[in-house]
Amino acid sequence: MSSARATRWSLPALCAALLACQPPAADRAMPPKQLYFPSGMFFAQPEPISAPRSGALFVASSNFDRRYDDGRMTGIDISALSCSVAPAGSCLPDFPANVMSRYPDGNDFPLESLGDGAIDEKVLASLAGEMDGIETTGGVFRLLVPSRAENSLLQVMDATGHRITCRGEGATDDCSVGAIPLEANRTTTSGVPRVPAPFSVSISRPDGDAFVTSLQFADSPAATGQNPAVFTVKLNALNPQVTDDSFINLGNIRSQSVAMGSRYAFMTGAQGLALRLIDRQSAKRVINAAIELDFNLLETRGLALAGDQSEVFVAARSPDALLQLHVRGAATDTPSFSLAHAELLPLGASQVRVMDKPSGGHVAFVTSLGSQSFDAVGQTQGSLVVYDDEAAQQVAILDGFGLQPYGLALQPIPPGVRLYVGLFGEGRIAVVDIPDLDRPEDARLVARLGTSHVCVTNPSSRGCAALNP
Amino acid sequence: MSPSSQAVLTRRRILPYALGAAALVAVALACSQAGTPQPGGISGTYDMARVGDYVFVTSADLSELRVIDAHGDGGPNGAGPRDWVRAPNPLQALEIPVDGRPVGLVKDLRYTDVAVDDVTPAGGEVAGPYVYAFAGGRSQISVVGADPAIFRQVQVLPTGAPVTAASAQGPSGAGASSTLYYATLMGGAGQLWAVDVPPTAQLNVPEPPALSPRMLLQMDAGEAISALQVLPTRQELAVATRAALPDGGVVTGRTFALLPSSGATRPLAFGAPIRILATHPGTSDGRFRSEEKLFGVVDEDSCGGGGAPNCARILTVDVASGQPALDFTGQAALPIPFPRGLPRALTFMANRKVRSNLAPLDAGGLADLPLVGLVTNTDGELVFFEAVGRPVLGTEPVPDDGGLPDVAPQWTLRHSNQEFLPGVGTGFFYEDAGGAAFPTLPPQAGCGEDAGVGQGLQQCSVRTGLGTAVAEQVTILFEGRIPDLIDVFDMPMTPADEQTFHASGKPVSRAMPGARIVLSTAAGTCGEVSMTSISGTDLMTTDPIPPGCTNRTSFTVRAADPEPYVVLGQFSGYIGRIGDQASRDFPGTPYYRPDPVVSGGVIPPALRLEMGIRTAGIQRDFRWVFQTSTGFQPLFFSLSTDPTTGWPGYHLPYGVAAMPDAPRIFVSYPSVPRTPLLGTGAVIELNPTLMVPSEANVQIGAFYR
Repeated sequence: MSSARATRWSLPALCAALLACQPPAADRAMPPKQLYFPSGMFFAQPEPISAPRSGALFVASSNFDRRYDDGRMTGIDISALSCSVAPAGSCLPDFPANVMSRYPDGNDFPLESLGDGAIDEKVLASLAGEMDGIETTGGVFRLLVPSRAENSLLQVMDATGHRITCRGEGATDDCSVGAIPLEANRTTTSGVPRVPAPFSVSISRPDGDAFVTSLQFADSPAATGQNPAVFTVKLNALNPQVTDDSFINLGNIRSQSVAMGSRYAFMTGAQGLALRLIDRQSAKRVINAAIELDFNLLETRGLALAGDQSEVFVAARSPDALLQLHVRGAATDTPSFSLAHAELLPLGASQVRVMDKPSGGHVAFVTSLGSQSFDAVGQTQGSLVVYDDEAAQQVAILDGFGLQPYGLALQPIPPGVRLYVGLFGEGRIAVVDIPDLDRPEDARLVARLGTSHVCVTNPSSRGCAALNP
Repeated sequence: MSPSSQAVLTRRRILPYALGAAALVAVALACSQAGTPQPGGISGTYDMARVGDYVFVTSADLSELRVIDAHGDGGPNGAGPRDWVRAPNPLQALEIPVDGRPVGLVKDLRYTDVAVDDVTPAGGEVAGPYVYAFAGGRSQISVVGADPAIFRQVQVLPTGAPVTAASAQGPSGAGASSTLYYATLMGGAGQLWAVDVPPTAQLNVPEPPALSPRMLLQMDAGEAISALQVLPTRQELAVATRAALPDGGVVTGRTFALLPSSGATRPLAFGAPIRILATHPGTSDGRFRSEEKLFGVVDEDSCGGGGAPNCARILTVDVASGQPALDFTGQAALPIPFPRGLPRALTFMANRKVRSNLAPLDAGGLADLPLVGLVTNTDGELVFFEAVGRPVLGTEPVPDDGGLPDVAPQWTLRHSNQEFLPGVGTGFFYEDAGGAAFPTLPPQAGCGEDAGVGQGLQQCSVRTGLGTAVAEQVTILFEGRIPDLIDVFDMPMTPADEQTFHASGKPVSRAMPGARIVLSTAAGTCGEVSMTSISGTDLMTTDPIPPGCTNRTSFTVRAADPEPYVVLGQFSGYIGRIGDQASRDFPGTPYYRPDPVVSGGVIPPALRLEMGIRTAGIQRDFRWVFQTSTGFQPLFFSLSTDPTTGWPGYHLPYGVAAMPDAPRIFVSYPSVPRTPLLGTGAVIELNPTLMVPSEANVQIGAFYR
């Protein structure tokens, strides 16, 4: 292994080891109604969509610095945020809301202002990653959340409205209890297969097939650093069981995010396998899309697949960019790709979501973390980029509205969309409205939910001073 | 001794060491300056713009511009490295704060017919008073002074909608205004604006006058403006638009020249949607004037995207006529193709030489290219192409001293070939239908007049054409299935219809009488018949249909005598057919026009090969496989990204600027890993006469971070 590759692998491993070895301290419960380093997000809206005010937003707090004992899953009843029921000044205006007059301040409200009935909270293992959900029956959503903390758990829960039920055996309020360990083979002779540091999950609709990615390689035997291999887990979200047969060897380049297509699971990673496809019909068949031949990048992060699978949008790092790839034969034995467009992005390109425009074409949304400094101001705090593939242009960039925009959840409200943007660095959710996707440049920040945790994590930072002038 | 006096003593003891250490650091810094300019901490290095002796580059992530002082006499002994323009406190690089996150950068452009100074030769660009910074998704443009006395943002122009393109025309004389043209996108429709920007004396004041944009054009719904390029000599503006048909339809576009003073337009016949426009300076000898041609990078969304065959490419039109430009052959110039990646930035360098593998030693290994096109590509290369070259016609008179003939410059548009080996076939093997290779090839007879009689493909016969060949794996299948005539869905509706095979929309001409038509039912292959004729889109047979095939669902056509071999290319797909004891030239699509002295002025076939007598024991789907080379390699520069000996992270070039007074090119890289001291951006300085052509380079002039 080259020294650079060894460094690449050893640094995350060292960080993970240091974090894992922190002695647990007593009484480190996360305050109620607090979001803390939100990572995974999912908007649950039963079909057919009955009213724009309905639905539930689920936010996984990753407890990234492990200040608290555990992470958290928060379910928020969107209807309870509406200005028709919530107190004036602490409510979410109906869609489409007006632009905030004092951008970015002016419509910020903590979750504490909501009644207890509007919020549901369950415990998660720390370091939760990207989550996904699928509607099962009767408006019940099955949610999957991987966590990179001890035992590398995949947590399963059901949600009715915003109410969460942990599905692990013996679990009540702690969804890590009875969760599926993805490193159970660590103690076996070979130590594999296993998925250390599971990060992203995507569920195929309606069949429920799901894949989980892994940020780290699994060594064999465990803790030897030998025979590195990266595995993914394939399971069914509707009947989640994991055996050794569920693991698929992907080679020795880590995987990052995943998006499910009808035939293939699309996975991002790093140079060499920046985009790979795992054949859902023959799981041992892995196709390298070889996008590095057309765009010389170092690694890839989030991705999103258009509804008709004709396009895939990939966020790249070094340089930060949004790549739009044409996909041909996405449901055939021989899919092919071509780079249609590359759009340079602000620092820290992360999550991607895509929606169809009413008149044709797509609008992609990308979060960028910015400089990842708690003293950041303006655009260095991070950005939300709106890209219109018909014009092949970035048509809107929102920035300066919070630290480290990362997670994305979409609430389609035809002809527009309401976006919930997780502000990873400050523990809040920004709400952005686009009234009409045919005019995606008309993106506006309309509210921010939650209480900033900047003064908890960095009391002396400029971000805290800005909150408490 | 009191604590305070002890502290003073301690300080006195430490002070000499501290001063010594500081001196060492200063010496180290001074020494390192000779090879490396002082770090400027840039991040987000995208577009670049040269104005006189200064090169502007975006530092987008910090919302600022930086400037490289590129004076030819910069650095020790005038040999560089040049340095960032320093701030009033010279320990710091000058930062020019601008609004938003600038990614795009344009400058005032105008050309001169007479030499003005070292960096403004005849035909060169005249420095204007401003550069303009903007970014997609932002509704503003920053106007920045380009004179060293006014290196600051002097005005922010609100645009009301996101900016999609911009181009600026420099002032016609002292006291005149610059004109900034820009495009916005509102509600899915482009708008074209112009605004006069007064001289710095009027704008660089405490309360400058507000700029007053005027709308020139409102595009149709769904039509965005993708590129603008001023044509200052003609006082025109080239405009390229893009329209995407709904539901993933074809991307279209048009390009036209607008005369803003009258509103008149005329088409510019690129023949494809364009997303980058650029024009060029003239040569200082006056033989090729500035702005004669307009170059356009095709919108790859219109043709399959980067990596799709013949898609990413540069086209050119003659500015005066608006028609495709003619090259030295008198024919429409071929496009400059890019097999991989997407071109990012396009600029030109006049009156310069570049190192070339094919340049004669007498010329010092340097090719004299009066006008060089420079293109950064997302595959990591900086490509140099001939926009005015010196193609050897073979008719040049040899001088009396017997030296090299004086090759006159000719209008060209082509890559600069760097390959000195001819295109051939290599790696031959022969295998059976199951893919098992035979240990030896069938008997070879050699080539030429003394050749005997060999069996099957004669490997010495394989030749590829310079400028038409494709580097790929070629397979020659005996009685192979003919592409696009495989598993053709076809269900006869009546018994009379059973001997007709419908192949509407299929290339039926690939089949010829005698071909075998293999029939299939839902259960699989059921039999085959011999094709006897073709009628329109149908294939016919007079053979009786096998009894088990009366309810066929599909058919496949296989080659048969007299031409039973199907020639396939890994990228070309179906190349053609050939028979026993035959030689065949297979044409290709020209992408490079060689010197007439090399090609004789004719287009060579892409592939030429010869078959001997039929190989003993050959069966259906037995095949020859080999790899072709092309004898063609574009001239490019790339940096080695080897983590120990190279430049890790320098894998994506973006902006490019060339100095007119010296062999010096600046290239920005936004892909460099961030360090605690340095940002994610870098600019390198490259001497095109010293680079290693078409290989990953380790040595460069300097880098700026």
